[in-house]
Amino acid sequence: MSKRVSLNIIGAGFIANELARALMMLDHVEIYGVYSRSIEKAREFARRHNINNIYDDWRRAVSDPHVEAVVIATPNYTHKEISVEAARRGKHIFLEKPIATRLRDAREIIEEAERNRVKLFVGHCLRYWPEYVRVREMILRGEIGEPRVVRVYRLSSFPKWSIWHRYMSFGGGVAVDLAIHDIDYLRWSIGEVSKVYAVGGVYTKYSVDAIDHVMYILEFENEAIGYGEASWAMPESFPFTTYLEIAGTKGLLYVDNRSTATYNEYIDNKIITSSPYDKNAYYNELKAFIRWILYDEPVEIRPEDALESLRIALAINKSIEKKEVIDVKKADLE
Amino acid sequence: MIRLAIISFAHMHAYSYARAVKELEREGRAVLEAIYDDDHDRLRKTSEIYRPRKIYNDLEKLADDKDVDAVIITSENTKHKKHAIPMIMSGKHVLVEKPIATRYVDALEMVEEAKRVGVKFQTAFVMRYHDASVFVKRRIKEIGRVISITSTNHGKNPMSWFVDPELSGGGALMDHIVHVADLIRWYTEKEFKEVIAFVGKNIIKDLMVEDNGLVIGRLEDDTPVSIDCSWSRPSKWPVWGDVYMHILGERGAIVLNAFNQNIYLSDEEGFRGVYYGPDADKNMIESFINVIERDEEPLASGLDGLRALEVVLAAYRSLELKRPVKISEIRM
Repeated sequence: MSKRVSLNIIGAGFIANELARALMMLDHVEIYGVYSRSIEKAREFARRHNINNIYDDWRRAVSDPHVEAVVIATPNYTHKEISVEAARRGKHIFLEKPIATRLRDAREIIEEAERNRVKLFVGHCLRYWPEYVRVREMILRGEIGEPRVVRVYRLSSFPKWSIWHRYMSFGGGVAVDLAIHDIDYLRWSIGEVSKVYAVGGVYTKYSVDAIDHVMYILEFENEAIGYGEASWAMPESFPFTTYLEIAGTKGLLYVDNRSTATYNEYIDNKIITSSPYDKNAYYNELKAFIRWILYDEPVEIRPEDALESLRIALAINKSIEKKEVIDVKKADLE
Repeated sequence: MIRLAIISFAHMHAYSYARAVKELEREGRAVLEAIYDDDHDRLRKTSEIYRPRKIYNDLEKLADDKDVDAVIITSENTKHKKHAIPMIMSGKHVLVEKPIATRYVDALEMVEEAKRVGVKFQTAFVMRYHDASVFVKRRIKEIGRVISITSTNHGKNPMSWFVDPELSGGGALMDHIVHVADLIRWYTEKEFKEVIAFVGKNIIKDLMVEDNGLVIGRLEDDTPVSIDCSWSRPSKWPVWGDVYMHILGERGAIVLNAFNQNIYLSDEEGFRGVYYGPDADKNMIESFINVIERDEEPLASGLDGLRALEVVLAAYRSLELKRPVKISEIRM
């Protein structure tokens, strides 16, 4: 029998559920246990995914000698403490994005992983979404020439599956939690960002102090420019919307999630628009993580990428606060 | 019946306006009295197509023609003032293509002169006459106070004089900010307070003007708005471009995609969209005629043209200063 990676899932919320479903489909993986602050929630999660062990103490879950890796999908503000502890216990780490909510936390996680020689994979899933992967291939092959003008949207109503999104100090706001997807993707596909200008604020009644709507312009080092928008302030009935458009010197491409949807459902006034497939980005990124552990196969994201993407997201918040253009290299974003 | 003259076919919109005037002529609402052009070849060609009663290559003579009640100015951007002032002085009503002018003082002079003489002065903000856009205006109160607007006016690079700064006064910023800036003002009934623009490396090499631009602005109550004015559609793109907006209000959202009504066709000429939506050009010219006949105020006035131009000029200034520029800064 081939080698298997035994791991614990830390967290039992929305994204943990998606990750567990993907893990179930992977060979060479054993989900040993799941942690939740609420033992009831852990038990329910374990039942749903056929998991044998449950924890309500995350320190035990990340130090259990039965596992060699952890999949961390807890609220953003807890990433640092849990990841650092997991690294010290010698566990390989899959950490849901964003890496952290503060740069110094991100650096500490990275340093601790290096010191303990564990693998750290931050789940910037766009690097594994089929349409985004395909677009990047087209760019790299020169199919649209040199990229010049970029446009990205990530629009949603307010996430209500948990309360931490509502606080800036817990979630980092919509820039750090949501815009960071596109930021990381654009850094990967277009190049490094040199300047950021943004507007936005606290828009919905659900937010306590989290910035929940941002409109931003990125200037890239290669003189391309990009407009982006990330929102949790859309109406309930507004379908989750993503959009990517890149104008290059030889062509223009765009792709959006709504006109390409393969499944639409209408029950009463609830609408579901999606493109379901089992082997989705969560599957692809976790597969990469497992193969990195087992065979040392290279992955598409280095921990430093997650740190740099966080830096740009924080520059958005800073620009909103200061009402000025942020020079990413010079600005104090700590 | 209003007797109209068209001043120059430099701007491609002139062809659609002339077509609309001829339709109104058949309906007994208007007459194409004259065409003036400073390009002799073009004057000959367009007069053969549209059969005006007279043709002029001397602006003074057109100004002196008492049979012309009103003019439509579709010359190059920097010539608008030169073409408008003599017409206003001789008491003719004016419909001027956007942007109203390329300099603040020129636009101001045109607006003030029209006011002094007492002629109608309308800016060709054709989107105010597009049915879907009119519907947004009618419905916008339903979403409560507007808290954010995202807009695009993409197009293909029009090339020709549009990329000659002497004639155009600028590139994509000059050409494509004003339509959506005007819609934002019209929908919200609020003025812009400040804007910042970013222009990247050009999409097409060796142009003398910018072919791309991204703008973020704040309205007088700090509502954030964004405009993508790029000529980013390749020459073989299946449609010309777009006027798109998503408007977020306290109680809901509205999405406008004004030129989404296309029949898609693939033939020898390639793959393209054939537009079948509302005829905003004709609506606009009909409205201009009504304004004159009924002595009303234009829906999009010269002052609206001036206010939209201010947004453009502040955007250009922000490129130099590398910071957001207040509209009040460019009124000096």
